[in-house]
Parts: sequence; structure tokens; C-alpha cells
Amino acid sequence: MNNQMIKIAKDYLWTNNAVIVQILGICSTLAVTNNVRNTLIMTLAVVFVTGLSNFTISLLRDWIPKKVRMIVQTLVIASYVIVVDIILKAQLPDVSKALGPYVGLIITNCIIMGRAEAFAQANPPLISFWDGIMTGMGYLFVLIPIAILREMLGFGTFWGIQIMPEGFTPWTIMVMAPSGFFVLAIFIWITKSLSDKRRAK
Amino acid sequence: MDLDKLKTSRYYPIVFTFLITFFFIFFLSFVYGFSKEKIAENKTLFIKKAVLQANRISFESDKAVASLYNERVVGMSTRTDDVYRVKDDEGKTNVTFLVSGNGLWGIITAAISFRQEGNRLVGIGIVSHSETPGLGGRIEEDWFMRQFQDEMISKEGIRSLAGSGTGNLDKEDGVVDAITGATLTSSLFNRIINDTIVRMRTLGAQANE
Repeated sequence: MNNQMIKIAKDYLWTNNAVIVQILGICSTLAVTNNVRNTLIMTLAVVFVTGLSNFTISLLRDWIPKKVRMIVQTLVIASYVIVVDIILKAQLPDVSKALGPYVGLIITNCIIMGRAEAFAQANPPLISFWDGIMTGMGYLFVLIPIAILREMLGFGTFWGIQIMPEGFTPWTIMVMAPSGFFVLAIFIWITKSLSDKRRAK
Repeated sequence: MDLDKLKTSRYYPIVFTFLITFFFIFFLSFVYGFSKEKIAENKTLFIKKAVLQANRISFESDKAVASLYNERVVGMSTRTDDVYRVKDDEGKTNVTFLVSGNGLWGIITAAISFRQEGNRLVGIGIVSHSETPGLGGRIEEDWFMRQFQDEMISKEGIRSLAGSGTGNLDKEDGVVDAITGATLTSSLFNRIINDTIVRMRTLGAQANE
């Protein structure tokens, strides 16, 4: 069990990372990463939802008829996302206000559906839960650096605190959608070169 | 009972889907019911905060908002229920409108406050919006909001132009900077302000009749 867990962790944090290797969940990666605080909340929400929906779907896997497989998966994922949305609205209203509709959009994140289909349908609940958590963490470890860079260059701040010097003119493009594309692309380029180099040794 | 045989039966998918949907919706309504009051509380808190912000009334924390609101909102318009008379920190009574209008992605709700003479804005407070975080969402930021405080209203209302993007602090020109990269949200937000100015002027004219 432990070896499998370590293998899964390594897989999703690096070798088969959902965002930079499998190239999944790109839409939310581009949209919310202009700000570290929003990104952290979003990614934690994704970790939570992926883990729990994987767990739930795995529990139900013997009972779900093939014909309605995707419908049931969507139902489970949507339910957990709505729970996150309700909790944010009630306990962290400022964050909920800042994230707006993007929390609801987690339902459409292909990473979550992808894991449900590829893993939870065929594996026991606890390891599925771990698989979900690790996939989400892989997503978090990609989005946070992107957000740090984009917020630093686009606003001059980190977590809302000014860190760039007074004379710094913010690169507003870093706040806009196009920068999400190219910062992510550069990130993939760097990580792929590193992993190729490592493999060549 | 053979599970595979059951799963391929005609009725099983229907019954299963119905039951599981029922279960999850029940679970969700339970979670919602639990949090409903807190969410409603937060919503009124946002409205009260926005009204205070529109009148540049300072408050230290969320806890102070409710009592400060009760203290300072001294009346409501006799004609409609979304216009308030609010006493600000300088003792002046201003006219505050709670308005909603179309933003780019959804409704923007804001409190907009005017001097009683109708020639200047006192300020604006945003209640809610669905604009893009980091772009249209920047209507909530200090630098943007500050432009409207004490701004003179020209004959055509307030104009939003592509300026430096860091805020037009000239209070006599009736012009504000739009948000760089959020042209549509800026102009739609501006339209909400100008529509409110028209309402304010009509209301003022009616009051003088």
C-alpha cells in the first residue's frame, strides 16, 4: 500500500503532473492565477473536491451502471463543488466575492472528471482518495509559482503586500489572460527540459 | 442477486440515478440549510459596508458595521426603498442610492452616494459583481474607488476614459480612468453611475416640485 502511495505521489507531483504533463485543467490555470491568494484558495478547493469525489465514486463503483457513469460522476463532483461554494460564502465571504463564478467552474475542470474515469472507477476508495489528493497537489504546485510570478510582475505585490520597489511599473499584461498562456508555456518548457535531461542521464 | 444482471436490467439505471440524485441533493440542501442564515447575514453585511464606504464613513472592523449603519442611516426616501439619507463623518447628510446594473459577466450592485446639492459624488461602495478577478474585478480596488470620491459631476455625468490606468485624482473634471484591460467592465460600470445620476436629478427635481 505504501509503495503504491509513494508512486502515486511522485507521479502526480512530477512525472505525470496533471497540468504540465497531461495538459489538463488549463482553463482555470489561466483564469485565476493572476493573484496568489485566489490561486491558493482555488487549488485547495480542487484538492478537496478531487480527493472526495474520487473517494465517493470509488465507493459507488460497483453499483454505477455503465450507461450513466458520467452523469453520476458529474453529480458527485458538482455536489462537492457546491459544498465548497457554500462554505466559502458562509465563512469566507470576501474570498468568495473575489473568486466569484470561478469556484463553480471547478465542476468543469477536466482533471477531476479525468481522475474519476481513469482511477476511481477501477480502484479501492482509500487509494482513490490519495490519488485525488495528489493530483490536486500537483495542480497546486504548478499554479502557485505561476501566480507568484504573475502577481509580482502584474501588481508588484505578493498576497496583496507590496514587494516590488516604488519605481516599478506593473506589467499589466501579466494580469490579463494572454500572460497565463505564455507563463504556463514557459513553465512547461523548463520542467520538460529538466525532466528530459534527467532521463537522458 | 447477481449484480451484473441487475445492472443490465432496464430499470436499474433509472432507479439508481434517481436515488443517487435524491441522496446528493438531500445532502446539499442539508449543508445549505445549515449555512443559509450566515450567508444571508453576510449579504446584508456587504450591503451595509457598501453604503458606509459610499459615504466615506470609516469603520475598524466588520463587527462595528451594523451599529454604525443604524446610527448613520437617518432616513429612507418616501418614494422608493433603495434611496437612503446617510450622515457622514463630517456631519453632512448625503443621498445614497443602492443600484444594480449589467456588468460584463453579471449584475453589479453598488451603493452610490451624492451630496444633497446633487453636484458631486461622495463615493461608491461595491456590494457584489461577477467580473473577472484581476481585471473587471478591480472596480473594488482603492485606487479606482478613490477617483469617484468628491468628484464633480459635469452636465453629461461622469466620463470614463483610457487614462494612465492609475487613477485620475482631478476632482473637478468629471473624468475617471478606466481599468487597463477591462474596458467593457469600466464603461458598463460607468453607465450604471450615469443612470443613477439621471435618477438622482429626477428625484431632486421631483422633491423641489
